[in-house]
Amino acid sequence: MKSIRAIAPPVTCICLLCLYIISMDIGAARAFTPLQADFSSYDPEKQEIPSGDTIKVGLLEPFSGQSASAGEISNWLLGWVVHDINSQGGIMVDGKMKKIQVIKADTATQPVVAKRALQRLILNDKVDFFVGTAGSHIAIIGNQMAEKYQKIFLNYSAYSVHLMNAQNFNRYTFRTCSTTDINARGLAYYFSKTPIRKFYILCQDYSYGQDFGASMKKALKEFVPTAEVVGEVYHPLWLKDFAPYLSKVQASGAEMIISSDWPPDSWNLMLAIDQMGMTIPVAGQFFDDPRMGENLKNKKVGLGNTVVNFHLCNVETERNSRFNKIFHERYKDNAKVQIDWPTGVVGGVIGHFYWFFDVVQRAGTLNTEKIINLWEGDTYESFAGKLTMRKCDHQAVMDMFVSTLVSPSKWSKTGNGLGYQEQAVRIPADIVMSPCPEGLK
Amino acid sequence: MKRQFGKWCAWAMILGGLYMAPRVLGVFELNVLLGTAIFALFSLSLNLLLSFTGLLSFGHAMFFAAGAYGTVLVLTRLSGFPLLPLIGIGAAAAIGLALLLSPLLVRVSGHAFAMLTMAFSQIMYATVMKLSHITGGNDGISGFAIPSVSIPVVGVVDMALEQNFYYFAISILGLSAWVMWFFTRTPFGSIMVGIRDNPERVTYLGFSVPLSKAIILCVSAGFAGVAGSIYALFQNMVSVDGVLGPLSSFSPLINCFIGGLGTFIGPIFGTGIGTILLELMSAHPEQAQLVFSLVLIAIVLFLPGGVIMLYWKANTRWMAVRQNIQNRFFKRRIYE
Amino acid sequence: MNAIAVMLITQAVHGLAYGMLLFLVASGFTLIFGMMGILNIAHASFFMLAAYVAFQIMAWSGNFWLALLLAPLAIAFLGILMERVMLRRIRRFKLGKALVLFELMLTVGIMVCIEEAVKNIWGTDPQIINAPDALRGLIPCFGMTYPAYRLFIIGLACSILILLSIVLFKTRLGNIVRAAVQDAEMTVALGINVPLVFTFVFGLGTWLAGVAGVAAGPLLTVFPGLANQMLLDSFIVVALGGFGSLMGAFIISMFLGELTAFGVQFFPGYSTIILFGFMAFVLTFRPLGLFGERE
Repeated sequence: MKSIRAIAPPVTCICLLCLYIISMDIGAARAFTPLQADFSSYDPEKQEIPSGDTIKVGLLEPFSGQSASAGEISNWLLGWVVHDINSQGGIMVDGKMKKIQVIKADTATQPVVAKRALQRLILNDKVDFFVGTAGSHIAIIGNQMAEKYQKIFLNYSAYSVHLMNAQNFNRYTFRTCSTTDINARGLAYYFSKTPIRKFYILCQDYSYGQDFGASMKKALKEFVPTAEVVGEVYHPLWLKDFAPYLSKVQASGAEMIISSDWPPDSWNLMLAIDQMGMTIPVAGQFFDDPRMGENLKNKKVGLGNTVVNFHLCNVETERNSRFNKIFHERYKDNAKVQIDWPTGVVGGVIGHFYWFFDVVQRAGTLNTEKIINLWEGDTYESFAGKLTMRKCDHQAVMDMFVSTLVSPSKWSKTGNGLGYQEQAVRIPADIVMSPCPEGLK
Repeated sequence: MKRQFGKWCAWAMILGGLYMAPRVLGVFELNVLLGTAIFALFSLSLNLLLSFTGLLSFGHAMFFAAGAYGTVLVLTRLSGFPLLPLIGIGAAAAIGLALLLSPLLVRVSGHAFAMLTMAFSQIMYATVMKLSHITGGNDGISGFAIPSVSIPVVGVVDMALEQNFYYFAISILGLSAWVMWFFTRTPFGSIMVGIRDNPERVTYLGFSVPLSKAIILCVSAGFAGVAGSIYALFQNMVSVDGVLGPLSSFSPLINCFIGGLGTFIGPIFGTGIGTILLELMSAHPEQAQLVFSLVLIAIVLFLPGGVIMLYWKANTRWMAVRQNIQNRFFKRRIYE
Repeated sequence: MNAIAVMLITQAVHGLAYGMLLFLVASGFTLIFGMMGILNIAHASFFMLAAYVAFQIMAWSGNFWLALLLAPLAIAFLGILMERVMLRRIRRFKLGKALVLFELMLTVGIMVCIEEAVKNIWGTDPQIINAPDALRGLIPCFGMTYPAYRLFIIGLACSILILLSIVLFKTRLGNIVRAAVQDAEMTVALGINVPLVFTFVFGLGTWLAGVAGVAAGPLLTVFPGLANQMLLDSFIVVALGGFGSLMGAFIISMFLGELTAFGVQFFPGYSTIILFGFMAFVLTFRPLGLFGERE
């Protein structure tokens, strides 16, 4: 009895210590879980800005100029993830729970403005890392500044292949989106399983469009040797009249237009097809906008449009259906955000942000080197499938998804209009990925 | 005597301030300062055409771009090219372009001149985009190393360091501005004003108006080229939107205007105010342009002489000021 | 009919449709310039703003014809406001030759202001205006089919052109306007209220831009960048056609429309260079433009 009394205090102490250690351990390892927050209160324009000791993330996007909508969308997506994480208390780094603070930097889609904005982010606002950005000519600046100031740069929306080649690659830059090459290979592989053989390439006349056109020709040659590119034309950005181009397409006898266009050009192209009384389908990354369908008079227009993306909402995984449900719950009756399903880029980029913050959380530190070491070769289970960060060129490896548009579709805005087919076609990563570029350091 | 003293004091303060800037300011602020100085030189060169010769140009950016691309192309293709001649090449490229175009440009004036310069700058834009294997197209050329300078006594100066480059650039910019100012004080400066106010009279006096216009165009283009050249080195990149974009010919016009038409130093003030406005609005980039445009409209409506007029307003009556603007622009020579 | 002929005719009609649209914008631009010497950089912004106003009216009422009636009037009202409140104010400064620069800067400011205001009100996403059902199909003509809406634009522009010519060349008001274009001071001396005529012309010009904006709405999505391309094109039209020449504006608009359409067909990617090269050539040897009579 006495002995028990003698050892009781130390045992209690040890037990308490153990408990404490365990609880600490749980605290440290308590990963935030995606999609825990109450999103009904989330509004990208009224985000709560955490104060005090925070993790500062620079958001490098156009907030003025012609592409300002791209910046607004990114702000909305990043805000979604940040809202989720912050409402769970933040991320444990360097032994402290910290909330995430987003600092916007406007590029106006001009390299010079972007450079100054980045200098402000890094030197004045002292961000821990920065994410971006629309436009490969801006992303190049991001690459350079990341290397110069040794800050991690997450590129989730610049697709040009050459951003990660031997000349432009550096170890501080990571790309989670696909590339023009990967998109083209995904599409071409999909076409090899369909009877369509006559293609017309109609892209925007700048580096992204030209890259995509070139990649597409290469990929078609590889996967669909019998395919025929019956025409190829590059039009200026923000084209005022598509009709002359479409007459040319019509005369060429093409069965499918392949286009890199994004809004407003992609919308104008679809409207022009409708007005010209044509029904030719278009393949590309941005021809699935749910807002488009209702405005087309001829209900046959848009049928057969083929989209390729690194994420689609009609990918049937458990995680994805949960995400779809939460997202749809939030935005189904929203007049302002007219996207009621997390279609391609919307869902994909949200997933990439979760991945990035998950990496930071697991690294448990804001130390750049440690995060890089952990992220290289890291694998993460995202909504639509597995994401792996390739070590050689910091390009995310992932399955690609292709869908054609059908009507009626449950993924359309009304539930019975133009939208994705029931389920997306998954194209495995080893088919679409090109090998590591040569000559990397 | 007293005024002279005040003037010297002001100069000493400006020079001292520019010298001390790297020690006081952080890297970011220093870059903002240098960027403003570059655009101030660009605006000054346009002002030479606008305020002194009365030529409205909608395409001055092409000379700026010629300087930038000239410098960068030589720098990236010929290794080991020293720094100072690189800027000379920028100026030479711009002057070459001006020489090439001057036979066409000197024939016209007024709105036709504006339209013609706009047409040429648009042709240049389209050409730069088309020749993307040389110019990098939309991506531009970036990430090149800036050559170091070896000075006999001091040794090798590393220009990748912000401070060193700042001193180098600001002295060239300052020197260029001074040369330009001096140019307006020479007898040739009077010919310029003559062309603006009464070209026939200049002809009667025995000067060739087209030839004089060509010379002015070359001088103005040369300094725009210097600004472009330093700009490309400073930004460590040249991109078609940055030097030839839709607003790049208009923003120096706006700078001249905000600063005060008809003066030599107006554009410097104008550029400075533009920069300050944008920096103040940096937290709300979506609204920055809106505020800027409202300021511009307000200046046109309520302060037609530009910011420099605030100085006039302080010691002169409004009526006299209005007379002044007219005089400055039409009858008298320079009025600093 | 063989395929090549069909293609040529189709492209020609495409060019005609865009040319007509451009003419509606450029005619106002050139009238204002010819009369008041104002290079109204904000003109194309009124075009864009009209499309947005039409979008808003459509969202409220769903009636395209109502939008086509009201939106240009609203834009004309704005234009008149701008003329009376702002342009007239700086005219009172008595700046002589420098006035041109002041007006230019004012219109640059207004252009940026309109674009930014539009972004703040309607956002940067493209918006869609639907044409009324009657105009959405295809119409068979000359053995081929052609989109009804484009034919509607051609018809609309033609009727406005005829109306405009009647007003300008057959009425007393037109005589006064043309007189004021020729020589404003002399017209004042005749006891005519020229400032009022100025206001009328400014309103007319912005109204034309407004009509073009609403008409362009269903053809294109409505987005803030709509003004830029139109501005550049109307610059070309006015410079080439001659400042202040309605006839020149019409011919050059048609030419530009056709060049764009056939450029796409035969030499894609080079039509800009060709166009500006041609413009440089013409302006060098005829600084007044092809049909202009005075500076």
